[in-house]
Amino acid sequence: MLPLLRAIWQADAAFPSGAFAFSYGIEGALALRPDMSLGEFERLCAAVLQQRWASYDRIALQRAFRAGRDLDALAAVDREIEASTMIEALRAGSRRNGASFLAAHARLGQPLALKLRAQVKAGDCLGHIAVMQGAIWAALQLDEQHAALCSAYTVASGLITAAVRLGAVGALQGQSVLQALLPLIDALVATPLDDDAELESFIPILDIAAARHVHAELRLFAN
Amino acid sequence: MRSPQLSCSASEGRAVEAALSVEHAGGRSMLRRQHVGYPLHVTRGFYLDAARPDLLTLYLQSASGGLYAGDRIGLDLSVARGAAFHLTTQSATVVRDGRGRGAVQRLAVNVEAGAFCAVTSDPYVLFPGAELALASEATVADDAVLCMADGFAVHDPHARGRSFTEFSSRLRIRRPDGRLLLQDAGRISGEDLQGALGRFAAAANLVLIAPPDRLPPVKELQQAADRCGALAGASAAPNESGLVLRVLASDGGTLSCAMEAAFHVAAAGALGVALARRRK
Repeated sequence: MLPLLRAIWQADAAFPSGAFAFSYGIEGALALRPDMSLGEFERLCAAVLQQRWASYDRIALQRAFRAGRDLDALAAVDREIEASTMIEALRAGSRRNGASFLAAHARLGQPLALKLRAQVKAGDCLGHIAVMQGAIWAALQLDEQHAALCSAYTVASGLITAAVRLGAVGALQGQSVLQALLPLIDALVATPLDDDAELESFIPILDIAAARHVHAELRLFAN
Repeated sequence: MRSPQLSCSASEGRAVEAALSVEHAGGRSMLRRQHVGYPLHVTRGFYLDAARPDLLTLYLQSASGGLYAGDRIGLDLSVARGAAFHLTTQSATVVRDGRGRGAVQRLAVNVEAGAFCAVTSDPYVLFPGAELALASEATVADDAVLCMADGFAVHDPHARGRSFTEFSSRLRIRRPDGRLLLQDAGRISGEDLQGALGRFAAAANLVLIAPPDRLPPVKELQQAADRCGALAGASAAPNESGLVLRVLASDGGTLSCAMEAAFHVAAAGALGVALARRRK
């Protein structure tokens, strides 16, 4: 049961992973569409999971998970994420989120986190969140499927937490959306992933929202 | 009435490998090698820009009325040292029902030192059942410029609520030493379109690879597209390679207008002069 318990620990919003500072583009999307209905918000969250997480973050997570403690292999996945994330605000956000995640684990004394943090400081590694999660969760001996569930869940709950903090949806409304997304997360994680699957993402509405968001005068989130 | 060739192509698809090579000679850029077969057709070269009289512009046309199931179209494009070249389309390309086989359009571009290359396509118009895969690879020298733009618009001519099957796009850009600058890949099915595009029905990307001192201001690129009624977002591209622009629009016409405006901002930044309007 310990691997499952560790997965719950990592998915818990109380873990100081730094995710609270990032809205994954939702703040920008809500600024573009302040009249977004709850149904539209749910569709957008589902699109993030299907069109970005499942074909992009999940692949980076799996590659990093399987790379284990091979720092060169982890750096290669990290570089590919960097080259494949078109919008600067999302690239920078992913790196900063990864740095916070590493810092928390390094302070808890996790040996690979200490090594990876040094790699990031030296510029040998960039520290994108999905790559760091894959590496550290493998080191913490999470089951690979639990790691994928944990990753998808934290993305979904992060989107909803951001929307609640922005006042776009109520706390219970947010939970109803999260509850509705659980079967989708289950189905996405249950779908087998080819070893040679390539990084793909298609959700231009959020890319545009994130790109425009950096010019906003008032922002609650980093992206 | 359809020609026999078209009827055949519609059932079997066409496999075409085309190649264009542009070089700088005698003060202007010239088409040095051209190998283009049916259904592709290129016009004669135009020199449209008084401010850059060396810049060669060609219009790529489809002689068959669009892309059909099973089509496999490849184009190798080479722009030699110091040359300046713009390849664009005459109009939007209709993509017909893919019938389970889809259409594939492959593009390979090599831009040598000091050269300028723009490949800007009008939107692909995705008919119900359309299945299109775009696969583009480019190699760009450190001081060269590459501007690439393409996108799609959804069209259901009989308003029967049918959408396209799938659109996918993969763009990979490297330096001559093999270093990866950026890769932009994604796919979308017609039924998932709303979540990814919101209320819009047309989407496009523009990527400008250029040295930092030859880039337009990010906001200018975005505003050029916005002014046409589109919703755009511009950003620095990965690895300090240039700029990227994502654009959404309610229809193909608005998208075309936005992409044309954005291309002119990108080209003015990269070349230091304003280019003439490309008449279509």
